[in-house]
Amino acid sequence: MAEKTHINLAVVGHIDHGKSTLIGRLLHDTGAIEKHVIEKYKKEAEAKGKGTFEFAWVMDSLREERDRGITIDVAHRRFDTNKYYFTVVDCPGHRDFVKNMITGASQADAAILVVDAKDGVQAQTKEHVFLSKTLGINQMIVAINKMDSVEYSKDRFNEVKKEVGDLLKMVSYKTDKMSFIPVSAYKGDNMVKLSDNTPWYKDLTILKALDTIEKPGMPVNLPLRLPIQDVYTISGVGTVPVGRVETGRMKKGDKVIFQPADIVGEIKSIEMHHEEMPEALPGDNIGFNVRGVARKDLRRGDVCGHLDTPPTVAEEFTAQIVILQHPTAVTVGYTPVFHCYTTQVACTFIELQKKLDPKTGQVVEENPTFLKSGDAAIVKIRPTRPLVIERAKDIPQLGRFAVRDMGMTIAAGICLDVKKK
Amino acid sequence: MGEVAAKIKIMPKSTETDLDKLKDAIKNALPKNAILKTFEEVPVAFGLVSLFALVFVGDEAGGTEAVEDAIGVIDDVESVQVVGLGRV
Repeated sequence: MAEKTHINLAVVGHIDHGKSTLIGRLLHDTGAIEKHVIEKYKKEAEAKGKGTFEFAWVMDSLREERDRGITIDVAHRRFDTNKYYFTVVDCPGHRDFVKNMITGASQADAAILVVDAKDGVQAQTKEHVFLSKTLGINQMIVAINKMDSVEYSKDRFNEVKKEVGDLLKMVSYKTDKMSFIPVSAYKGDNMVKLSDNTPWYKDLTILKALDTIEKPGMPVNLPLRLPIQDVYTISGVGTVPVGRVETGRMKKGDKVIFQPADIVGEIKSIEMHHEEMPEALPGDNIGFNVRGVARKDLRRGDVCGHLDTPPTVAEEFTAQIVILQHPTAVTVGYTPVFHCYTTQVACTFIELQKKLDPKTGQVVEENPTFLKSGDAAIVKIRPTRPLVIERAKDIPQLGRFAVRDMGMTIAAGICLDVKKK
Repeated sequence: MGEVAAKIKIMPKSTETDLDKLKDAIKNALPKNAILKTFEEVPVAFGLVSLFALVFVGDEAGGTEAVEDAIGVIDDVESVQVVGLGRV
């Protein structure tokens, strides 16, 4: 039988809203945890008179199990639905991991947002919704969890659904096409089958909703963008930049330009895993030999594109950002470091244009004098040295950034418009 | 402590870099609260071989920064990049 299509799934949400329990439940109920492991814990649980808590017992014990059978992709756990196989990542809660998720970590195709039915929208719920949008995750399933703690109340479900929906609309998610599912991951309600505890809910279970996800296409029809990670001189070969193709395709013989270095060259050969290949596609980690370019001409963060669709170098750009944490306030003149694909450039806030209400997306203040933690805003930014950045709606992979200062992740954002240099 | 697994890609200075020595240097350089789980060598191109390290850190302030900094200053290291991240 042909291998099922693979989907990368991120589980996001506020700490303690039940992300890992939901993942555990999915693994448990889809048979992803080997039978003998479950049997073993079942027996242990029964022996200790905890038979009814089998699921919780399995959850507690799995962590140790994983710790022993470690692989390099330990954090990626697999389960299968009818249509797909999923690898699932439980996103770290702390803001300081945001930088890694924006600049390096592999992209999720879809996300489950977990919201506690009792607590509703919390600080990290907002952050993760914004971050998901920033990362270009357009397909989201909302699990309103711990329904058992609110007596499976339909009214409470609808309240939280509206609250989450308003938040999602603010960052332009199309909520009418999204599933909002009342669940108890701990008890197993509406996860793989509809629960008698919520007779008022007849829509999709989590498992069915996962099968409605569409596998996003590879961004192969966008212009070529390959941010350089490192540049080597290899004897017998020549100048070899290495990096990951983000968008488009690179072929042998292509005439390319590196920006902001503003250097032109020709692709002589491309290798991946030490094997020569005629063309490279999005996601490929490659090294390529380029004619007409010396190692000293290039540096990390230069972006390779085709001559007729060159990378955009920004004089200034407009961005939508969310302030994740700042000890005081962000004002005009503030110049933290922007982390964008493989580059880091200090950039100055030159205008605070609009402050947005994180719940409704409405403009609450024109030209605010400062921004503080939790604020979403439209701002104008000027890089202190040449920087390639693209409009997120054109090339999302090169349109997002994390803002760092004082060892903290201050903000995350997407580029809305660029004033070219 | 140790509840976030980070997959870290390390590029060596050159094709000549001794990866076994580099692994030792990384082991010795890691901050105390980071737990090294495993290494994997992945060929890149034209004789260059990248090193992936799986490191556990806490889901707390600082994230992977201290680990990246500690590896980044090792002589034989060209660059450090976190390429995968997830709670264990």
